[in-house]
Amino acid sequence: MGEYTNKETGGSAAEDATLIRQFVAGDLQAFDRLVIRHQDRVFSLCHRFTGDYQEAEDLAQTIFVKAFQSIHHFRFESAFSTWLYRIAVNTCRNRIKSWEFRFRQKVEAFHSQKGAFTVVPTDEASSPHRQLEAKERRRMIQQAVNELQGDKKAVLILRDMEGLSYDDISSLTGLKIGTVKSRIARARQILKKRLTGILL
Amino acid sequence: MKCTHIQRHLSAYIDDCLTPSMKREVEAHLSVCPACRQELDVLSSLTGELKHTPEVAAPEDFVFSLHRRLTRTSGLKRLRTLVPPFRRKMQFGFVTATIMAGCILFVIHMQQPELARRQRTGFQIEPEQRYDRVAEEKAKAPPAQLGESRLPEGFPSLEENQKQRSNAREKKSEYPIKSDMSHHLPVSEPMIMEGETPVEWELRLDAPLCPSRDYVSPKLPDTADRLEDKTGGGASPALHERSEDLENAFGRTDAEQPRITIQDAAKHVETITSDMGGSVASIEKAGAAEHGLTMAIVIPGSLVDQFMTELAQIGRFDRNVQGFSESSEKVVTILLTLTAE
Repeated sequence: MGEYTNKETGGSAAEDATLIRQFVAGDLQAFDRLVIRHQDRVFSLCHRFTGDYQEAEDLAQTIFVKAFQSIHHFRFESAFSTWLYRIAVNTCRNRIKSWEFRFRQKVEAFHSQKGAFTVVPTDEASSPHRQLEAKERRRMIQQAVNELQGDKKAVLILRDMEGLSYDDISSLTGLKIGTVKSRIARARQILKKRLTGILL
Repeated sequence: MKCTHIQRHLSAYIDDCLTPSMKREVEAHLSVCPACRQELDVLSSLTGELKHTPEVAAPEDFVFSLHRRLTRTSGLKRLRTLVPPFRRKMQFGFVTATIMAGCILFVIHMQQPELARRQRTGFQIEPEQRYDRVAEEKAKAPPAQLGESRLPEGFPSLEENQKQRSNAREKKSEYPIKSDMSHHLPVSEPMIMEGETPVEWELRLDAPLCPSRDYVSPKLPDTADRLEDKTGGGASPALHERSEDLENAFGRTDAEQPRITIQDAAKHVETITSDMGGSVASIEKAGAAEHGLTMAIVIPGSLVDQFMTELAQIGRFDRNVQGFSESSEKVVTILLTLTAE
């Protein structure tokens, strides 16, 4: 898997390695700088997996706590971003498989069922209306993604949202490439059916 | 090639993950099949929408929230390291359940204040407080007849008391009761402090007395005079066996009522006094008309009622003497005159 680079901060693997060494040497603020460099990327991934802001914040904190507790075992064999991303993906996969998360998803889906797939009229071409339409489309797509189960959801997010290759997805999830392909195809078919009338 | 076979590979075709031969087959089919092209367009639109899903930025205070979380987590981890029951979640739950059960039992226990009060104070009651309780119980009970035991249940009877006291006296030096026994009595510590004025009561106890070997009937003037001389001079008294004068002296027989000698009555009074922490200050021969002894007794004021109860076992007296109901003084002096009934 290629090195994941923080877009906003322009961080590099060398800078991350320096901060890690400073943190291991006792500089606690170095870990804060590491968090600031990678928090948006991790938080975005969590939000895509959960579809909920509060849930994403809790999940992101859990990921950084795990990183804090095990960073002393980091051996610099790969980039810190790759190591952190692996922790994040596994934590997110475990979270969406937990019964608590699935129960909350069902409750929220029940409450938002009414008008969930209402298509906004498109005959008006005003700019605010288009913004509202685009926002509604994103909301419905995110809701459809949220309703995917287990690894289908994970591989779809990693492929179509995060832009990872099949090999990287296979490496991160431990699934075979053929399994990754078939689950991505299956997930897309499910989304296509759910978003009929919205796409194109 | 059927459309279903082609559509199964459209997802991989979008991702450019097909083998070259398969890719050519798919492209050849798409060029002639509008339905599969429509399917490809929908899937491409879907992936395009997903790819352009905007990223959500972390909250501005994410680092501070993380600090709080790390503090909580590290604290719990340290607790689990230090305390063995907290090392495993199952044990943590067990300890929590145990603490909850203990709290519930404590609450139930505290809801019984009377029981808790008794348990707390049961072994702290002073002997005088116990006597107060006895006095309260007696006040509630109907007045007892003279000669009847006024002691509550559980207390030894007069006979048992006398037996116990006589056994205790046998261990001490046995001294003869004489007309003047003040110098034979044990000297107790002074109970009256300087500046205090003791309350003095006079009490006449009419006991069913009988003359003894050293008691001389008042009908025998010579013997009475001699006894008076001895009382004043302190000489050794002469013994007189005058049992035949029993009826003449008191006008009653042993068959009517069990009688005790005046020496035994004095001993009883002395024993009762010493048991209550008091002392017998003096013993004198009563006036000639009374034919008895006068004892000056000093006892704690709080035990007057108990003393009177004990005294009622010996003989009869008038409890309505003025001031006897007041026993709040620290020390009370009772001038007790033992006379024959």
